[in-house]
This record gives sequence, C-alpha cells and structure tokens, in this order.
Amino acid sequence: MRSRSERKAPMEEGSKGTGTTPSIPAQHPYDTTLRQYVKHCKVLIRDIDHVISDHEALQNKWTIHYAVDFSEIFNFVLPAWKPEHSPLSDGWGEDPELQFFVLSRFFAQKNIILPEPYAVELRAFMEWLLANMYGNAAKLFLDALSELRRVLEGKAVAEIERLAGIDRPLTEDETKHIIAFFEAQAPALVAFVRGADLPAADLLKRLLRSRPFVDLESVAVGSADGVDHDSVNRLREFLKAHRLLASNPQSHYNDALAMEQIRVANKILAPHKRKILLVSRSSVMMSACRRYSDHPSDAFIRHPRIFSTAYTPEKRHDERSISDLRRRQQSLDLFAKAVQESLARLQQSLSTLNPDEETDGQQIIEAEQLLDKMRKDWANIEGMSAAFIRAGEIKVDPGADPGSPKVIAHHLLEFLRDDTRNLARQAKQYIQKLIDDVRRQRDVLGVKLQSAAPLQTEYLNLLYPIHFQSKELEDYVVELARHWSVNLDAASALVEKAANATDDEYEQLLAMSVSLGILGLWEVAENYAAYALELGQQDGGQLYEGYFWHAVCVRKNSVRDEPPHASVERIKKAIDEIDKASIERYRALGEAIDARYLKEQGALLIEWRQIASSPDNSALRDSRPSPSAITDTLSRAWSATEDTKLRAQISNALFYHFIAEEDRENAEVHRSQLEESLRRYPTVPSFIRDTRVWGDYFLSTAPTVEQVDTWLKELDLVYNAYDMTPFEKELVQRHRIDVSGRRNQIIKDQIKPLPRTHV
Amino acid sequence: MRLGVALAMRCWTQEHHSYGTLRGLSWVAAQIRANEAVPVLLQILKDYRSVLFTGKDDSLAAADDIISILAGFVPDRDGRIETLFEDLLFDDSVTPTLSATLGVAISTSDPKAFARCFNRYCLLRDRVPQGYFSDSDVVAAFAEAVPRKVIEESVNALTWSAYKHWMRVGVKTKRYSSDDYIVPLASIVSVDLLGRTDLPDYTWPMRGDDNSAELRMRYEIALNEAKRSATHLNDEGEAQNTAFSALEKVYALAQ
Repeated sequence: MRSRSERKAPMEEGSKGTGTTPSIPAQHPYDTTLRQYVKHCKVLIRDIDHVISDHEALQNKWTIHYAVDFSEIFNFVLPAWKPEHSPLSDGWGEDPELQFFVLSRFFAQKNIILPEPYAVELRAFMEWLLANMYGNAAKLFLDALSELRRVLEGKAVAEIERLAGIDRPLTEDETKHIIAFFEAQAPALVAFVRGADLPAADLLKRLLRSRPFVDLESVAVGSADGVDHDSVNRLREFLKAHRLLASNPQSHYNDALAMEQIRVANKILAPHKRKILLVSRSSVMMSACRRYSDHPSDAFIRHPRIFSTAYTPEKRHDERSISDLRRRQQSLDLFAKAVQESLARLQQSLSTLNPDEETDGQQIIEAEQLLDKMRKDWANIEGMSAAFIRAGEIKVDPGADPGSPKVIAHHLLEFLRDDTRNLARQAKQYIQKLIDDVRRQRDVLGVKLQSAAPLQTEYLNLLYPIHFQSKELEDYVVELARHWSVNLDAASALVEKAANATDDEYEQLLAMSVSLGILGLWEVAENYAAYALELGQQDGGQLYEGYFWHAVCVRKNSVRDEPPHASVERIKKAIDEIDKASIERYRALGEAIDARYLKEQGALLIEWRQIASSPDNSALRDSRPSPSAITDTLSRAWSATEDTKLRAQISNALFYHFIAEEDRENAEVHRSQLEESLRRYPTVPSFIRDTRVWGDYFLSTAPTVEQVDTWLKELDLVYNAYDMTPFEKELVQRHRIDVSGRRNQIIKDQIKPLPRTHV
Repeated sequence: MRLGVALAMRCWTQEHHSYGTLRGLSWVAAQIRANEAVPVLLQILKDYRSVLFTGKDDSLAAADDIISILAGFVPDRDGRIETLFEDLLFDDSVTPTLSATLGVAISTSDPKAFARCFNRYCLLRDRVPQGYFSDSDVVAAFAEAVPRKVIEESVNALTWSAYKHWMRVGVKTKRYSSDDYIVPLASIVSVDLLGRTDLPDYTWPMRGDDNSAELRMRYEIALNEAKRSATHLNDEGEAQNTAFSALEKVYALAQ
C-alpha cells in the first residue's frame, strides 16, 4: 500500500508532468497563497478536461469501465486519515466528510474493477483491520456533538427547529433544506448520521457485501498474462523517484503492476470501443501514466473528485451541465493566467528596486476579483446535497434504508428534538453500541474458550472510585469501585445513569468515560475524558477528578509495540494531568494529597523507570526517576489511605518496584502486605496476578520444574486476559521469557557429568 | 532412578544391544528428565557417529530420537550439546533428515545462529524427498526459538532460497499458541498508517534496497496467500480443492 505522503497536498499535482507552467518566484507576500490557487486551478482544469473527454467518448459509443486504486478504499474506510485539502471550494477538498460522500457515491456503482495487486492489498488490509477493530471511532462522534452545540447556539436555527417540531413526514424540499443546512453548519454531524463513524472494519464489510468489485480478467481476458515486466519496472522507478517522502518500495511495485495491467487491458479492449479508467488521487501515478502513454488521451487515471456533483450531476451530463463545466474551466484558466502574469510583473518590479506600488496593487486587486468570481462559479453548483442520492448511500441498517435522504434528515432532526439538547443523551446511544460490541466479542471469546461464565466476572474492573457532584453517580461509581470485578451490565447501567442522573455535561461525559474504561476501551475513554474536561473548562467547574481520570486513561491507553520515547511521553502527559488534578483539588478543597493520585503517580514512575532502564533505551537513562522517588511517592500513598483495595494496589506497586530493583528484603515485606490486602477478595485483576508470579519467581531460591511450569501457565493466562493493556502485556511477555530461561537453567543445573568411576 | 538410567545407557554397546534398547532407554531418560543421561548420550553420539547418522533405518531412528531428546536440554551451560549439534548440522555425511531438529536446537541456544542454521536446513531440505518435513512446523519451531527482531535482522544473512522459503511458509503459518502470523500478510504489502502511533504498523524488512526481483517475489507470495485454495468435502464426502481469486477471498472474508 502506497505511502500517502504524495497526496497530502493536491496542489502539488499541477507542478509535475505538464512542463508548461512558467516558474513563479516566491518572494512576494501574495505569492505563496496565489501560487497555491494557481496550482490547484490547473488540477481542476485537468479534471474538467477528463470529465468532458469521457463524456465525449460516451457520446461516441464508447463504454467506460472504472477501476479503483486500493488507496481509495482505504480512504473511504478510514475517512479521517489524511484527507486531501484544497485552497478553494472544489466539491472535494474543502471537507473530509465530503470526500467520504463522494467515494460512497462512486462505490455505489457496480462492477468496479479491482486490479489484482489492489485485491492483494485489500486482503492484507482486511487481515490487519480485523485484528485492530476498535479504531478511533469516537473522535468523529465528539466532533459531531461539538458541531451540534455550535449549531444550536447559532441564530439561523429557528426554521430547522420548526421542521423538527412538525408532526408529519417531510417533503422533498424540506428534506433537502435540512440536509443542506446541516451540511453547511455541521458536516461532521452529517457524516456521523450517514455512518462514517462506523468502525472501519464494519464499514469495509458493508461495502464488500454489496460486491461492488470485479476482477480485471472478467472484463479484459489475458490482461494479466500480457504484462511487460520491463514496463512495470520503468513505472516503478518513476514512482520511486517522484514520490516525495520515503515510502514503501512494495507499494511502488504494486501500483506499477496495476497500471501496467490496465494499460494492457485497454489495448485489448480498444478495438471494441471499451476502455478502463483507474480512479486514484495519486498525482505521481497520473504523471507516470501521462509520461508513458503514447497519446495524451490514452492516460487512464482519473481523480475521484470527478464523481462529486460539482463535476458529474446526479443524472447524466447534458448540454447545459457540460457548458457549465466549460465556463468554470474558463474562469479557472483565466484566473491562473492573470495571476501568473501579475506575479511575474510584480516580481520584475521588485527586482528592479523601483516598485510601482499602484500598478502592483492594481494587479493584485484584479487577481482577487477574478478569484471572487471563480469562487462564486463554484459556490453556485449544486453542492453536496445531491450527493445524497439513494443509489449512493451506504446503508447503516439494511432493513430500514436509513441511507435515504429522508431518513438522514430525520436523524439530523432527532438531534434537535431532544428537549434537553443534551450531548450525553446522544453519546449514551453511541456508547451502548460499543458495549454491545464488547458483549458480542466476549460471547465469541466465551464460546472459543468454553468458559463464558468465568469471563463474566473476570475481566472488567474499576481501579479507583471517581468522585462526582451528582449523588446518584457518586454512590454508584463508589460502589462499583469497591470490588475488583465489575459486571458488564453494571458498566452499561453507568452509561444510563450518566445520561439521566445529572444535567452537567462534564459529569455525564466523565461518567461515560469511566464506563468505557471499565470495558477496557481506553482509547475511546481517553477521548471522552478529554472532551469532558473541554466542556468543564468552558463552564468553570471543579475538574480535579476529571484530570485524575484522564491521567488514568492516558496511562492505560498504550499501544502494541509503542516506541520507548512515545511511552515516556505518554507517561509524562499522565503525570502532568495528575499535577493539574492536585492543583485543582487544592483550590477546591484546600488539600492536594489524595492516595489515589499518589498511587497512580507511583505506578507511572515505575513504568517510566522500567522503560528507561532497559539497555536498549540508553538515551532515556538519564531522565528516569530515582528508586527513592518511587518508594517515597508510594509510601505517602500508603499512609494517606485506609482503603484495603487501594492499599492492595499500592502494595502491588511497591512489590513490583522492589522486584525490579532486586531488593529481596523489601520485596518480601510487600508481598506479605499484598497477600494480606487481597485476603478478602476472591478474584484479583490480571496485573496483580502477573506481579505475584513475577515475585514468586524472584523470591524463590530453588524452584522445581513443576513450579516453574505452573508460573508459565499462569503467565499465559494473564497474557491473554482481557483487562491487560498492550504495555502490561509486554511486561508479562518479558517476565515469561525470564521464567522460561529459569526453567532451562534448572534443567541444566540438574545435569552433572558422571565421574568415570561410576562406569 | 535417573542415575540408574544413565548408568544403564552407559553400558549400551552396539555389539551387545539393539538400537531399540537404546531408544527405549533414551525415552525413559527424557520422561524422567534424567539430566545425568545427557553426557552419556553425547558420548554415544560421538562414539557411534559413523554408524548412527549414515546407517540403516533402525540406527537412524535411534539417532533421531537421541537428537530430539538432547534438543530438550539446550541451552547447555558448557555448550557441549550445541557444539556437537553444530558439528552434525554442517557435516555432509550426516543424514539431512535431522537438519530441522539440529537447527532449531542450536537457534534456541543461540538465536544469532538462526540465519546460518536456517540456510543449512533449507539446503538439506532439498536433499530429502518432498513432503518429508512439515514446512509449517519447522518454520514455526524456528520462529518460536528465535525472537522476531533477530529474524528480521538476519534477512540479509539468509540465502535467497532460504529467505523465500521463510516468507512463503511464514505468511501462512501461525506462531504456536498465538494468533500472529510469522510473516503477516500486511507486513509484505505494507499497510501504511501515515505515522499514527496508536495502531500497530509493521513492514517485513527488505533484503536489498528496492530490488525488483525481491519486490516481485514478495508480491507473488502475497498473491498466492491471498488466493490460497481451500479444501472442503463435496456431497460425496470427497476432499475437493476450490481455487479462488484474491477478490473472491476478500468477499469471503467480509461475510
């Protein structure tokens, strides 16, 4: 899969391959901005050329088949990742959600060719995606909520509110009006309603279940066999040389092979007046295609923006739409030329050190007037709403056709119909979906392991009570935190309570974040905690518990194979949040010390020291906290609480710390303390089980192989436990390696060479 | 008892006892983890080397058992097992059928020996009848014995055919007791995560810098894996192979 580095700036597209653009020196303040416009204009001129020439081909009885680059599927499935941006409204680059709409419109077409190299990439991507199901789906939803707040605060909402209140089906015009309103005011909200927030794997599965793709061979038999590998290499070299940042050589090869296959296919199809166009945003591929085509009209790559209604109307092109395109193309061309000319003159006058200010100013004003005209041309086009054609929808619920404009408008209005207009009420619905996913996942896991019952109680937990102003939330969360395990239903009920127990949005979202943390969805939990704090800061409430919980989320939200410096940054960020919590707490209550804060800080310092002490991370060595700082922090935490569960966690941290420091005497003391604290609990979380095994291993003097085997088995169970974060799993893995090494050592020690006299 | 078994083995001679006896004793030693038997077994391998590794079926079977049992005792503090194994692995007169066990055992003790051992295994693998080795099991055993990082660092030390074999088999072999593929498909075709650090991004290292033969080979391996045929039973209960295109496999995965 290609590096998308080349795509981040579509303005670069005009700079390669045309060979006709006079260079514009970048020395005047207007220069950079205007030059961006000019470059982008050239790209749009090219795309309009493509649309018109394709239309002419259709009129001349040609059949056009579309093929698609895997990267378009990638961008459709993960719409928030590096979308293209354009300096002017062009029906594509002004909004990431719009790109999602346009691609969904494109994918709604049937029989799109997926060249084999891209099918391979898609297959690999699916494998990867299915292993990483929980992406950052919460982000878009939070954006949507934020936009909704803004919309509701705006003045132009009265008409929409009236429509929300009417007790009859919406008319076509009303539907259009509502969607247009929200598109303008809250595109993230529209995207959310349309299903762009669906976890990427679900979105991809929904797309594939409609079977939109066909093999290239089904359209052009023999195209794969006719590939010329010299051509593939030539294309590959071109791609490698022109892609700006370091990218994967395999991506160049796959792209080159796909392009060559399509070139061969087009040769086969041309006598039958059929041709294949590859839809890809890659400007470098487009340049390569032009470079190696016999004739400019043979270039077969099209940018996906041409499927926007700004270029291709909902119904087919007619004379009017084509002449409109031509007019817009002319205005782009006029603008580009005028700007180039004026900037060249401007440059000349600057270089002669005799600037004619009046003339320069006049040139710029003219250019700006042209730019205004051009903007108007593009603003008058039909716009986004026509993208919501029925055929273009990705169905969120296949039974109810929720993708239709009416259903979309209905859902958008639902946000307004909520009397309290409360963000958390809407968030509740969304989080319940996540809980259902976890429930399903757990059921599957239960069936796999044939032990669903223990799982119910085993893997969910809440380490600390988080305190709320709302008494109902406070009592509920404190009760949940008294135990080491939390029932899934109890976590789900917390979401309900969060929405209903209080009107304070900060508390609502914080409680939801806590419920997500209980589920182990730390990434989403962190997002919600951050958003709760954002709201809380606006309202000026007491936020110390929010900062503290956010710190917990940051610590827990580690990723697999996290680079050491990233881990340390994450830890520092969490420590900063705890500092903020302490300051806020002092302001509010007159005291800063809280045993939970100290314990959490101690745990962070241990992690930091452990990472920085590794021989592989010598650069971090100097920054690591001292053992005494850790001992001191955790000892203060111990003295500041009587709570047995919290003391168990503090003992666990101290026990772990002394094992890591190879301090046998203190480790013994804290093992006893830990066991004492855990006596009343039938189950304990996996990270404590890990410490116990690790400690037993460390403190044992002459373990037997059987003992070591028991430890290894326990570590395997801990490793696979649901409540372990990726960072914690890495630690378990390291412990397992050491314990396993000990096993070998024991076996080796038992081997003693037999003295010769024995024979 | 362990000492007794060791002593009994020490009394074994080819002239007076059968290979079956030796094998029986060896397995008893393995079952009771008689470490005392290790030096005895090493001595027997040295004393009867010319017979055990090049002889008939019964002597080869005994050699195979002893090697497997000794492999369970690595790493050896004094490196005696490893030294002998290394010697046997690179001795052309020793039967190639032992190469996988020897190579894995050496690599377990010294992961840095991985490339040398795997290269040798691949060379010897061509000298045994096709299907003698279970490719997946052998590659999984090496992958278990050697950390992934070391394997990745060794790609340039592998021969071309060994590298190809590792990729081809690794892409369809899951690591023992884990869901990870030894060579994840996405790591060959490279899922590009645009610098996001919160998701695992991982590319299998290239041998050369942008070598077109290697790129083509990697693509072909990925393609074969993407469209790997499935075996299923037909209505008559007979095993039947169905070939799918890469796209069909994608659709199947989406169901």
